[in-house]
Amino acid sequence: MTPPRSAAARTMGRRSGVSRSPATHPRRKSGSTKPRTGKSGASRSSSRVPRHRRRPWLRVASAPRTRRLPFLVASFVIVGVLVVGVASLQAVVSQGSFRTQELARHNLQLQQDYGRLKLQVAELSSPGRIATEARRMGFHVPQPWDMRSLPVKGSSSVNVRADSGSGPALSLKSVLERRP
Amino acid sequence: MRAGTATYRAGRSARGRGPRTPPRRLVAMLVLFVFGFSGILIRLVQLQVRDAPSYRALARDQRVRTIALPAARGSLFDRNHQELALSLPAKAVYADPRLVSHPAEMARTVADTLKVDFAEIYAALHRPGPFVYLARGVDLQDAAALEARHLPGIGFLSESHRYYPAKDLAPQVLGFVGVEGTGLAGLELEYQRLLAGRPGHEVVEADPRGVLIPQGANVDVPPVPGDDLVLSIDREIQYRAQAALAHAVKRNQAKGGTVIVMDPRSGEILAMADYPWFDPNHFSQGDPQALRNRAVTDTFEPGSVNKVITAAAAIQENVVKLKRRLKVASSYRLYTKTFHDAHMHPKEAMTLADIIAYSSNVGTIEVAKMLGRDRFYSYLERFGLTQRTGVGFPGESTGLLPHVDRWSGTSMGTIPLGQGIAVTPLQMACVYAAIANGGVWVQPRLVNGIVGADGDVRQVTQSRTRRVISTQTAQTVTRMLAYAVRVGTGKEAQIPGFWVAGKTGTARKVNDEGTGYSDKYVASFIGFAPAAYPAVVVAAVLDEPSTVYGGIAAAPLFRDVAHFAMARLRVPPAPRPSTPPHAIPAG
Repeated sequence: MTPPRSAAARTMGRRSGVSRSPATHPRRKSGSTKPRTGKSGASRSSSRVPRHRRRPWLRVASAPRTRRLPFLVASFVIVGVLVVGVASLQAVVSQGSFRTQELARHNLQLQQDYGRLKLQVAELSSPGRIATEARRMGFHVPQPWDMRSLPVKGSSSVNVRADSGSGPALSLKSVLERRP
Repeated sequence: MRAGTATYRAGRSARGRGPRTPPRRLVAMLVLFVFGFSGILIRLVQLQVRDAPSYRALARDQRVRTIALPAARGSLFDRNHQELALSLPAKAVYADPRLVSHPAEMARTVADTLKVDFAEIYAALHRPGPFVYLARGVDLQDAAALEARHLPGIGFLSESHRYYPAKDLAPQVLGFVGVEGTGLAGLELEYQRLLAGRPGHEVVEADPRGVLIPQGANVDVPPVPGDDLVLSIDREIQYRAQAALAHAVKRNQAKGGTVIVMDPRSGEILAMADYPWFDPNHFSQGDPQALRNRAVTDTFEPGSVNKVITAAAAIQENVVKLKRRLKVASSYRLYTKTFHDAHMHPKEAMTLADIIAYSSNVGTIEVAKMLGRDRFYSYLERFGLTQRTGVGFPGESTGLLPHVDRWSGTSMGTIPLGQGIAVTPLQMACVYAAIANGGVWVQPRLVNGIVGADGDVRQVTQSRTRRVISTQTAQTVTRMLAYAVRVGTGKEAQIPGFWVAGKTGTARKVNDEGTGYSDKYVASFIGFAPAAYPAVVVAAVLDEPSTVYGGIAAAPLFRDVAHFAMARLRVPPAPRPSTPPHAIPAG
């Protein structure tokens, strides 16, 4: 009488891939329990070998041998390419960011230079400075009596026009025209 | 073997029927682990759930920085797009005095680098608290030089600094900006909202050394720069007006003066100067009295320049025929007060043109009486002496003209002469501009256009206009004013090659107590040229000149300014206006 197997043993038996004995597998026929690699004469000769040297009914089935190396190589290559690609992309983006920062700094510097130059031009062209320089060089501002005006002949009637509406538009036009 | 088995079975039966109970230490371990893991779990919940926002914020603060991006303040241009005021980026230098170990040495370094006063820096470094400003509006190059020294406890903030490249050109008109970038006076204050723009900010990630991480958080709210203002001021005319004003003030030993140059047709103010002035780059060092734009904010009793309103009203209402000769004495008693002409003369026949040309006080009072106080007051109102001009300037005065209901018995003697009322120089310039403009009053303005950040010029609101007198009346008054310059009190205002129309004014000033008149005067001349085709109106006012008469003190100032303005604007000479009917032979 076979002692009852414990639950743990049953579980282990299932998980370790141990083949069941024909007796414990009701659906499997006795003929199917022949070893795959063995010959049919082996069972016949079992009667001749001692009982304890017989091949066991249960044995660990070896896994089918597969070629793992190409898979591993391919995996490593793919992962490697992906890692290198991501790193390169990151590097390129970082480089772009640094370049953008550099250009922004340069742009800011140019803007500051432009502002300084604009201020310098405004200072140099201010009427006060020009007048001072002119006086220093011996020039003087002409007085009304320094200038001669040609006499104007014509009608003596006063011609005062009431033209107030077009003023702003005209002034804006002049502004627009002089804008660089 | 059998005996052992029996003992085991006996033991099992002795301890109970179920499975064997774990030893106590296992239970204790279990309890310990349960408590331990529970504690960890609770702490995890605390850190990851309850306190997560604060820790997230703490971590964020350690690496994320918000950099304020100040908006560039809009520039002020003259009518020809020349810069009158512009802002440039600058730095504010601050210090944490607690981190400064050698204040004297630090103050010396900062003062030398930034070219500022050592004592101020030294005093600032001894102030309590973690933050003191050492300098504001520092040039970027100077700030960079100081930053390169890596001084402990010194920091920098971005800001902008306002520059007025023409220095003391039109300072009262432009105004000035405080260190915080806010307009404090003048157009800088009036158009603060437009000029200031909207500041932005940038959120960046930085490593512990402060180096920015390029791909870190980069929230960027760009600043919106302020709009630029294109003023009606002409830089060259403004300079010449100021130069002539300074010369006239010195020549006449006056206390101060005002000049306004205006285009009568558009209302554009080409120049507006007040002496004394100041440099807006260093406005804090200026005389507080010089900061006001007195052409707009202060009033004066106009004196005889106001007679033009009396004459215009009389002609418009047809109360005096142009050829009518009035017998004008040299004095006139009205209630309790006797009014005199400037010079004693026998009773003389004068037309209205003579009264204006020779600025007869008595003749003007007689004309005003014919007009009547209500009609006269209505013309003062029409010419804008009871309201602001609306030029768009902070603190503009309305003038002081009592309502006709509150006029005294002598008001009809004083107000037609320009005494007993107070107006701004700009209000009076607008009166003459209305006559030069064919009887149409035009609202004066200082701004021609607004240039947005995109470069588009936006049109300003068109100047208000209203007809005050008819074109024919305006032409007649112009002829009288031209006659006054040709033969009357305004001879000093004549410009070679041009015919000028204008009127002198000599007004006594109210004493300091406000109880009567002092022996101080305001001399003025307001006119336009060329008389036949007016291109510019010039108001010249001198405060307390040694030579009190407007025809002597202020008329030459008018001449200098008007002559230059016409040359600058390339105004061609115009024909002479016809002579109005007169009784006194032209000398």
